[in-house]
Amino acid sequence: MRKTHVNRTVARLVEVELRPLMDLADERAVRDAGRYAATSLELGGPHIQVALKLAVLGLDTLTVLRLGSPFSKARREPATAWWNTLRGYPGFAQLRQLVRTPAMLLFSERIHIDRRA
Amino acid sequence: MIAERDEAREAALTRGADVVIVGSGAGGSTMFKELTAAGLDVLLLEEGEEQIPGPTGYGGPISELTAALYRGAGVTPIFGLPPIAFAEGRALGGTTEINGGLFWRTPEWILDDWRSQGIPLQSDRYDDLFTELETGLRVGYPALVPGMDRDSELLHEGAEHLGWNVVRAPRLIPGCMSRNQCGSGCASGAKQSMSVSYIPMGKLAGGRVVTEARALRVEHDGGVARTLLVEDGATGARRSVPFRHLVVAGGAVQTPVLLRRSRMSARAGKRIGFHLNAKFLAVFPEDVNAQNGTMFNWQIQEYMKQGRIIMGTNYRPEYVSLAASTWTDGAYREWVGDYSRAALYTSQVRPQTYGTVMAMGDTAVPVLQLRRPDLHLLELGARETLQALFAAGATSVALPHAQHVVVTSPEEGREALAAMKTRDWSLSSVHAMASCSMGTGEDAVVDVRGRLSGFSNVTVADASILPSTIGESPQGTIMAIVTDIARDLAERLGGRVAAPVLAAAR
Repeated sequence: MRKTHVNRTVARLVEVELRPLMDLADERAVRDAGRYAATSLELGGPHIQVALKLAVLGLDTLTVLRLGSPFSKARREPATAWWNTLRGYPGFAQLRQLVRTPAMLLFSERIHIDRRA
Repeated sequence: MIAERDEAREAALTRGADVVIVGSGAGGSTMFKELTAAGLDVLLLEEGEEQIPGPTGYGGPISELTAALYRGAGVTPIFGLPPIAFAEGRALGGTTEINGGLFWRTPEWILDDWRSQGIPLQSDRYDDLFTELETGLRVGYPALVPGMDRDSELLHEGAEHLGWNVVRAPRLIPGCMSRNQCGSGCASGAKQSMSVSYIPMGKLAGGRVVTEARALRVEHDGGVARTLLVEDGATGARRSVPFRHLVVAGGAVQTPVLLRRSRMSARAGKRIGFHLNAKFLAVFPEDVNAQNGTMFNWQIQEYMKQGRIIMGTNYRPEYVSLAASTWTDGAYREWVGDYSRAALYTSQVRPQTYGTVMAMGDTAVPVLQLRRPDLHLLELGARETLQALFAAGATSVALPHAQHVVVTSPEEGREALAAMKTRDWSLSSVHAMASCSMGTGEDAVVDVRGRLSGFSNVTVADASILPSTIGESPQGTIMAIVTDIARDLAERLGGRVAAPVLAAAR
């Protein structure tokens, strides 16, 4: 994963989204899911990156106005609460789905399920 | 060793071939096999990497296989409302590496429709061609093993209960070991994807293959294509690859963009058809253990002519993740608790609306805006899926709804579906076609032999040339039509050939 602002924001979004489910896997799964999502979205192509950058710009603008810093640098608790209020709105709902789709693939791969039956 | 490989790549690209084929999916590999069998000098170029499945198939985590085998690591949406997850392969073998290995004959009513448009398909010879392909690829019906594939059996039971037409699905997976991983590269080594069937056959017949070679642009003048500008993914260098004849087979999304970028066809990609999949997670009162088995064993075809079919699909945590991308934490936990009692099903519809393929730099961007008739079709398909699943004994079913809506009866489902807005649908697609449709009129992108309009030495040979969507998995149709086109092309280029199906079009 390249260390870009967009990738850091994606990783942060994944962390915020998956932390409540962390007991199903482990902390490393959440971290790896963030990296995997950022890398996958980079591979998705320039049109995905443009859409992602616009969404991150919108998220950062609102987060700076609300919390005083970009989303990836905001403190975890207020950032989580803020994201939970935003994520249902048009644009942010699509951002959530875009980020969660690859993240959930890796996370679901790591969850503790008895698959032997 | 690496230096030798690089030298061989360099030599292959510099030298070119009598025929250069762009793309190694069902269409490109069929061309490769047929043209090499006819004794022609053929170079097959593939943008993705050669993943080389081991003797027992593709191994490793699904996340890594997804990144390795899918274009854009699987993150390639169709833009529109709602956005639709689209998947296509980007590796040696193309999408045949990641599909379910279904091999259906073209539905008769689709052929009738094509004939009414002037496509001169001859039924008996077309049937013979399918028989030949099915025999060669060992198409059959996977054995139903007791204790396995309970999810498919339940769908079958539900359909029987309703008195619906339900049939076994023909697949090219001889010796399937039910690893339930079809969508991420066959883990049994059973699926006759192109990387283990037609491409090795073409190589044995003298054909050459270069992977990580991305076609950027076709150089041409006076209606004759001269060279193909290729970016070598291994070195980043660009090479002009010479040829006598060019076959474009990059798939229905990529092919039109290459043709438009090369200023060879303004009409390519102006229209593209998709099949849409809506996924349903059903929970049953008993342990189903849907992870044990393969997929697609049974298919409900009661409403196939109306553009709707229903089937079971691969069930593993990784495959549920697409649906789970919009779930609440509680819904996800509930599914984890129900894991062994749950199974995943697909309602596939054939929308009436066609989309378009736009180009953003070198990137193909598919766009589809669903209209009211398509939403009605989706709703009908969803209702029928719920009917079948509840008839099979499901206690609850999660709808393909962006807000994760669970229903416990067909009636409740009907109400929930009626309330769904366009943006609520959570959809995916794995079938794109008809973006460079063949036809007999002047506005056709290619003629009925796949020849690109306005060019004497360019053939298009993939799902893009189908005149329309077909309502079923298109691999069989693509391979049958391309086989026929390839034999005609081989004869024109001086090779050996079999009798063509589309003889009347010569």
